Amino acid sequence: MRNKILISFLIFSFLPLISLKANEATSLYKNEKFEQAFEIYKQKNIGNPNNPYTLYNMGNCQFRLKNSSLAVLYYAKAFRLLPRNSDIRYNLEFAMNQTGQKLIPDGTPLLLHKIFYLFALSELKALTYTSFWLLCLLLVAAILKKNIRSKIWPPFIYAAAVFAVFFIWGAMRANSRFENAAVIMQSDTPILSGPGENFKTYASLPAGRLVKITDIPGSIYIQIGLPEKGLKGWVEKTALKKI
Amino acid sequence: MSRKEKIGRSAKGGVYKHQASRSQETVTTETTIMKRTKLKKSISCHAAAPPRRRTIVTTIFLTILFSLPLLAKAEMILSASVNKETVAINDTVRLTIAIKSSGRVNDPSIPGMKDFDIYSSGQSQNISFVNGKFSYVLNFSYILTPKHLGKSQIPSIVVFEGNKKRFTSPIDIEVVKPNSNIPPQTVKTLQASPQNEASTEDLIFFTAETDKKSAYINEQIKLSLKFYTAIPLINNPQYSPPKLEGFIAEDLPPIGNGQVNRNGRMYYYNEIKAALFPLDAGTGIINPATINAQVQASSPEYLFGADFFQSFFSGRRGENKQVKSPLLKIKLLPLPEEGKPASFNGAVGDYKVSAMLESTNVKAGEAVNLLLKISGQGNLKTITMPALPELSNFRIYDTVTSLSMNKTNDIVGGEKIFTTIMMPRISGDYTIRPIKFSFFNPKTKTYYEIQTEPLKIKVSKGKAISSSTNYQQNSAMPDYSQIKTIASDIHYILENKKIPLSLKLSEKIASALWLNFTFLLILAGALLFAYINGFRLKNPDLLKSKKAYKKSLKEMREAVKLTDEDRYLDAVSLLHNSLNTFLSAKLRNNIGSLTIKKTIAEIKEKNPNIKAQATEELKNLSDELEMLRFAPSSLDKEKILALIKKYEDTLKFFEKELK
Repeated sequence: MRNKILISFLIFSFLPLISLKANEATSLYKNEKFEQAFEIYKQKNIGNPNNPYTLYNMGNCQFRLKNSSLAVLYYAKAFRLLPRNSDIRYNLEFAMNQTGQKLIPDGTPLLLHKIFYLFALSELKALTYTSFWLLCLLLVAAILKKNIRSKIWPPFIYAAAVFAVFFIWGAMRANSRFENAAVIMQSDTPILSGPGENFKTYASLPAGRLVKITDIPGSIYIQIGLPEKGLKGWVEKTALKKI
Repeated sequence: MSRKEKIGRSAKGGVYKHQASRSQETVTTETTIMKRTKLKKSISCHAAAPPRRRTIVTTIFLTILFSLPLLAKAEMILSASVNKETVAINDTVRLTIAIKSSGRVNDPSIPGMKDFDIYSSGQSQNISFVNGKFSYVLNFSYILTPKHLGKSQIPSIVVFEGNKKRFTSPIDIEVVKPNSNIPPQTVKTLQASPQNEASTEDLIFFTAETDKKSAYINEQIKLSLKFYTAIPLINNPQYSPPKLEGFIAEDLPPIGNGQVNRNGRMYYYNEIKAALFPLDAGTGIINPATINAQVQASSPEYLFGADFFQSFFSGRRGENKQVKSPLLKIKLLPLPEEGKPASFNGAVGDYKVSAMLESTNVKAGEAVNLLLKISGQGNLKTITMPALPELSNFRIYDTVTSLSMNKTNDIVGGEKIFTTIMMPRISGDYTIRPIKFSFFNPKTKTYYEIQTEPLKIKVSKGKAISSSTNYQQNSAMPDYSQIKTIASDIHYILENKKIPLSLKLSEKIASALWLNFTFLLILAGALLFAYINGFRLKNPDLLKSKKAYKKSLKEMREAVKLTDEDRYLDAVSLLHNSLNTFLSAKLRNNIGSLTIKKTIAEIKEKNPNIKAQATEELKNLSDELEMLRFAPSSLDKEKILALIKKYEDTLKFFEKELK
């Protein structure tokens, strides 16, 4: 209890400092000191890596510094955390367009894409989990209380349907292009046919390109894939950054 | 040679260099680039230049210093060098990457090195203006620690200049064991301090001053950094600006320089000024600025030998000297809340506002520019567009901003023009109401709300009329389908946004995978419970049979209690009933109406392998209980307790046999 009080006190003590830093970053951004603003956002991100707005602002700084690949990286990170935010979505699409990519694949209706990315993956997981818990509790009630089985049946069907929907949705999102993905940082990054310099280079990737990581990284090389192009190969780990 | 004579020599050298550099002129803060030009002019020589020329040079210097990214593009020169090619395994190598460019370049991309651990050790920059061309040199220094013995290599290092990519050549390094005979290498060593009459600290130093000790947010503070030297500098000093905490800075050109007498000693000085603007209330810190210079070391050759030029061409002996300005702290005051107008948006200074329309007579559907000019003294960069009054009959498009700054008398000011594109929808005569702008004047410590004059505009009927418009009552409606996007850009940063609660909560739930297993366990527990319960309901006799022995033991303990209370007959009756219940449960049949013989026969029938001893003992016990029940006068405590003991042993044996 004493520790909790101490931690709470420390958090509240630092709150004005965090706010001060945020204001400073905003002022710096307004004054076009993008590198300095980025450094402050970066510090803020270390303390709270799951804040989509900080990542978005970091992406803005990098975009202003004309570093499109890093801008795509930070926007994509923010998008993973809060895909329904219109600003994050807009800037990610803008930065992707600048690097010759499309946020919405050809032939996909905008509305469908927006629905698919309505929830963050963590939200889908949470909804799947909670519907599963509800399902379990209803089953337990039905097992233990025979006399209420007929009453439990309709909510059980509903909970099972919700669970199935979120489970499938979450599984699809876990395999979407922003999950287990990375952004190429160096222009003309060669794709090798094997994990070593002695293998043939059969394609090169521009900076800012989103790729899927398809295997556990080795010490120097990592296997990546571009599902839309049907490409798969190895690149140096230093050539990309994971989203 | 006396100190006075030495100063005289320095001045003489400065004059000579200036006269010889008529065709090529270089202004620099570091040595490196100077080595590439035959003749040069150093900061320490500025004092000898004519005043007018000096002003021009320093103005150029500061202009390019703070506008490096805007310089015209030219070919980039990239080089990498090391201070030693053979290094002991327990030693380090200094890698220097020099980038000479006139355009914006990125920091070098340091690849992963398999042979070395690498640490950054800072960077420096030089600026030069040679034959009418600007260029600057960035030096990035790294410390490399070898990982293994033998031949190692520093791989190519990439530097981007815009989209162009440049590589350095790989450098081979031989890593040897400690205490090996390492061939002599060009490692610079510091000379011993000269034994001057005055300490070096008195002869070369750096000062920092501000014009105020406290300031409001966004109020200008003038910072003056002065570098004094009374001894000759061999190379141009390398300047590292102070790190500012809580401020943003604007340079204040030109660099001042000249001569000054301080405490009876003549000094040359250079002054760099900057305007600081506080970002937030609290304490602002101006960390020390640094100058690294190489000063003339005193030696017998220098003091009594050849003249300055001889030492210049024959290789000089120098001492590296680093001087730092003092750390300054400024109290940063929040803007007062009292009297703050609703239209106040953070502007601090002294401003005027005016507005005009580029055309006052337009057709509906035609664009017209509204120019809002804010001019005065203060940090105009932070000023945002004031809110426009409601213009219901106009469509408002993007606002384009232009900024023109001046720094007259070291006060930052200028004008900012916001050009808003407007398109009248309906014909008529309109008046645009005054646009309000507020600012805080730190001199008077008062908020001011000023406003523009009302603007009148006459809108005549347009040619294009949209049939799908909602304004059908007016024929002057423009064709909205003709509206074109003028430009596109990313959205602005998101300030003070809180993470949605759903996201925070979902992250916690998503991380609690173990809870799923908990619910599964609860489900499994419920299933098990239901199964057991069902089994019990289906097999009540089996359950009774299994519990019979425990129940009998319990009743036996009850019999002991009754015996202690001298209720002997009750105890015997209890044991008798208990035995009947036990046997009924084991045989899953009520034996209350059976004799002991028939009971034993049934036991044998159901359990053919039961030992004869068990049935014999059971018979004895039953008989004894029957006898005592009907002959209560012969009962005493010892007898009862012995009977209870017998009862316990018999049941125990019997239970074992029936299992």
